[in-house]
Amino acid sequence: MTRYLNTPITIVWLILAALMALSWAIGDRYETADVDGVATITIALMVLAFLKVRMVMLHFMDAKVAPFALRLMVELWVAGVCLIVLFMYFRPPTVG
Amino acid sequence: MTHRSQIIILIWGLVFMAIYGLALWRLLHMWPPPPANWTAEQVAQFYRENTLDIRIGAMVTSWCSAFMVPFACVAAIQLRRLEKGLPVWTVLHLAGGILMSMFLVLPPIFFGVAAYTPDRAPEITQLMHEYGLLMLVTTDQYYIFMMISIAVVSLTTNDELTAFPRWLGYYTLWAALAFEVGALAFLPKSGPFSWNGIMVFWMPISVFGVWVITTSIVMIRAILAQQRAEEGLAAETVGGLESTV
Amino acid sequence: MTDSVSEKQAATPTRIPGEAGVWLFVLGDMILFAVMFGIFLHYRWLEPELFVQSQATLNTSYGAINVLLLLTSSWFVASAVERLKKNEAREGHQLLMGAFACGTGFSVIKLLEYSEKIGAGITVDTNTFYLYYFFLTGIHFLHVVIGMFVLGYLISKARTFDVSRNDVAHYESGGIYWHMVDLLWIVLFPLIYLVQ
Repeated sequence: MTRYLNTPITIVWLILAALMALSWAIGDRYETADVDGVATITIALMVLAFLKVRMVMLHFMDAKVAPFALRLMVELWVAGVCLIVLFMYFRPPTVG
Repeated sequence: MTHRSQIIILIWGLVFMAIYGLALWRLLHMWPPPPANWTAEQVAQFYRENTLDIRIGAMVTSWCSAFMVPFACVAAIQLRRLEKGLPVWTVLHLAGGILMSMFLVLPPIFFGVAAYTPDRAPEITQLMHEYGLLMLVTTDQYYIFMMISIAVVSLTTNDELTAFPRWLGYYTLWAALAFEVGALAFLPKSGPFSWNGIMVFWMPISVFGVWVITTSIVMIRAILAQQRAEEGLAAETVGGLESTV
Repeated sequence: MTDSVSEKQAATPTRIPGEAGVWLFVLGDMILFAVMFGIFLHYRWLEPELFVQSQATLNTSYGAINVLLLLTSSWFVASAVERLKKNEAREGHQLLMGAFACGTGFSVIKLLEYSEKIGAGITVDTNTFYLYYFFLTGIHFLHVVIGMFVLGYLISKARTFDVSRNDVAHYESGGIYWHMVDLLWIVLFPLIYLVQ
């Protein structure tokens, strides 16, 4: 049993599960948040999500040993999509 | 001879595909299609205004819309040379590949029929219009068999002169999955999943065009390599015979 | 000078996990999903109140449990690949079955969630939020189902796996696809269920 629990993969899983619990908890804070609080929670949730994605890609999919070009594409997707998502959350609303 | 025939057939298919694309764009005025939430009167108006263009487009596509048939045949031949034993995936590919042609052939006919009598009741014109467009974008059922067959043979065989290298197998799998979204067009009347939307029109048509062209180029290069190998083998044999004489 | 540079490169060898083709597939699919995230956010931008109100009717617990299930299934798959690399076929086989079980759990909860919504009269036609909710989660669910077939295939081969005869890269590739399915839900969960 401890054979399984001692591995780097298990550690990654623990971190990911903890981050997920954190996200779920943060998500509950919307009800009591003011406008700035809402923005902070949104940013936190999405950044956490994409950090988790990066961990899955680097450690589960093993992209950390990948050649530069592949690694670059992985990082670009994570950073790029995160930025696009955040941009779209904070776009000024339509008029009317 | 067979190598040259394969290449001629493939290029023939590609040329017809290009003409079909041009007809869809400039004659049938379906690139992109008009919005799915038009009223019957708006649809009727569209066919009245464009009746000549659309009928000419239907005529042109009557000649070239079966362009996937030659492609499917050459691909099947290339699959056959890779498959050991009974050509199961080859036959599945061929069946899927030629049947998928139906849904490229039929929509321009429906558009042509709609434009043939533009003064009929608008609801009837709308019916033909919907029939044609939904048929064009939602009919992915045959793609699955055609493309997965290529992917399976690509990934489970190992041949230096293969027309389907491994990366093409994976690329084909992705393309097959990307097309399946098309069927969703039955559900919304606007937005990216409706018949003129990104996910159901632009993305599939681009993916399809690029996939057909890429796969054709890869097949042509493989066929040429196969031809060179065969000629090389023949030269060796002749040389061998000469040396024993 | 050149010696120490090449020594450095030799010290950190790189390799493509699985094979290049599977990354072509995975990155291509991730781009398609990125477009769908954008589509969801665009329609949210057009009708923010509608989206927040409709989101409130979703069962967040289902979404969260599904994240956990897929995370755990990824642990199973990654662990299985490690075992197979050490030629421990039996353990690898069992771990893959664990992943399959998690996938089944995800599917059960997903179907439960859908049937609850449909039972309450909520369908794709109800409003824009629900249209994209069903489409995005549905397309993702299709990927999960395909993944189960991939896992099934790997499970059938794993029991007789032998490092000297078989290529562990196939298992890595299948794993990479499965991890993609996991990471997509990691984004979809906050996007659809949490963020307001």
